[in-house]
Amino acid sequence: MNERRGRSEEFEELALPLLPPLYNFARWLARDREEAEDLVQETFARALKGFSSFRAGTNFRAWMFRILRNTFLSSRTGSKTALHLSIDEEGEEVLLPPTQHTPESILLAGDRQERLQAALEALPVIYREVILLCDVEEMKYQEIAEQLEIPLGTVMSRIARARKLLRGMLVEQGLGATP
Amino acid sequence: MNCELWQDKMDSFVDSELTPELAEGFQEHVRECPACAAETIARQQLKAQTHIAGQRFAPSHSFRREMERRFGRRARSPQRNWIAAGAAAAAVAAALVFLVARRPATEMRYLAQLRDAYLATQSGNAALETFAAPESQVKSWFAGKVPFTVDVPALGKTAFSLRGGQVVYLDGAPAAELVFAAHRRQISVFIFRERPETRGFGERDTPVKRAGLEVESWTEDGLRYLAMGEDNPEDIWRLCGLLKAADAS
Repeated sequence: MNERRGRSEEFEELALPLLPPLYNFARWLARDREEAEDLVQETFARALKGFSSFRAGTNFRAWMFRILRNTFLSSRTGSKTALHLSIDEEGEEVLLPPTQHTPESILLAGDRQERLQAALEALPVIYREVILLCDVEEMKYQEIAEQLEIPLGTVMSRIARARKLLRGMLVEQGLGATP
Repeated sequence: MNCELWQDKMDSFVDSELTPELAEGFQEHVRECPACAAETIARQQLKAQTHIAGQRFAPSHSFRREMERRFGRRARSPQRNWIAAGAAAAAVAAALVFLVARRPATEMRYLAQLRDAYLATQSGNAALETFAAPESQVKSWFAGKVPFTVDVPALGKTAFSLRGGQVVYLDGAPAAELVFAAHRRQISVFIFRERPETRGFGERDTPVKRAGLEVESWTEDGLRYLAMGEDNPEDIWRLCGLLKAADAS
């Protein structure tokens, strides 16, 4: 009983400080507050249940994020296959319109966060999740690859494409419809 | 290595994923290639902006409390001696009645003064001092005006900016007010010497509704911090986290 209480306290100390970033990530994935809260609660419940299998000294944060993502996937019917794209689709290039304006200079003109947030929301989830893990959670490529159970090269190509898509959307927002 | 090959490594450079040798090679290339230099800067800016914009959502106060209830110490209930627990509860209730009867008027008076200062700032009637370089200027500006040191954390990679600051007076004693902006709303953070009358503000990890506003408050080294805003509890919570972390470092 005492050992179990000790592990619960250890879990609390490690897990509760991660509530804000986990919730933020869940909210971006789920796009709905209630669903995000359910997702986070389920994540914590699964993590607590499986805490005995967590190896001390390894990356607890990455472990929690992995549980959250897997919980998200399992909440979607057939979601694991739905999130994968064919190699041909991934290889498709996104052409930026030729212009002297850059997305960054457009961002500097008012509503910048809102525009970027709208662009992030519009990203397909497989690109949104890598860019969030990389740029918001500041995870390394290898961590992201382990999180998402994809090759390192796929992480790199998805990050590159996510950024191209974001910039394309920002330019489009700033200049009106692309001709 | 030509531009096309270096461009393939550009995202990895921006994300600090290149080996030191490749990173050095990349930097040498951009020193000689204005196009790649401009593109690298653009991607770095986008990454920095995404870092801020992506921190959009925060758990609500009620959800946080629910999670603490389910997974925190309150979720564990050791065996109790119910007679002792009942006696303790009765003692706490009696103390609360005594405290509420004795203190609320003074605490409310302070809260009212803080609220007035907050509303004056919101209405634009406050003469705020603005700081071009907050991290270095805030401390020196407040020196001599308030009997304590006022610091601000680095805000560069956050959603917050410092609009300005001023000295306000609570029962005649000087306090610092720092006005932060985030998501088109403002948050005032008041800093003043803790007094017996202000201990009633308590220690909170999340904002609560007080006098119609969202308020989060804590003490550190004899100073009372009180953050005040409207309809933005998540931002208040994040800002207070930054301030607390800066104090701790």
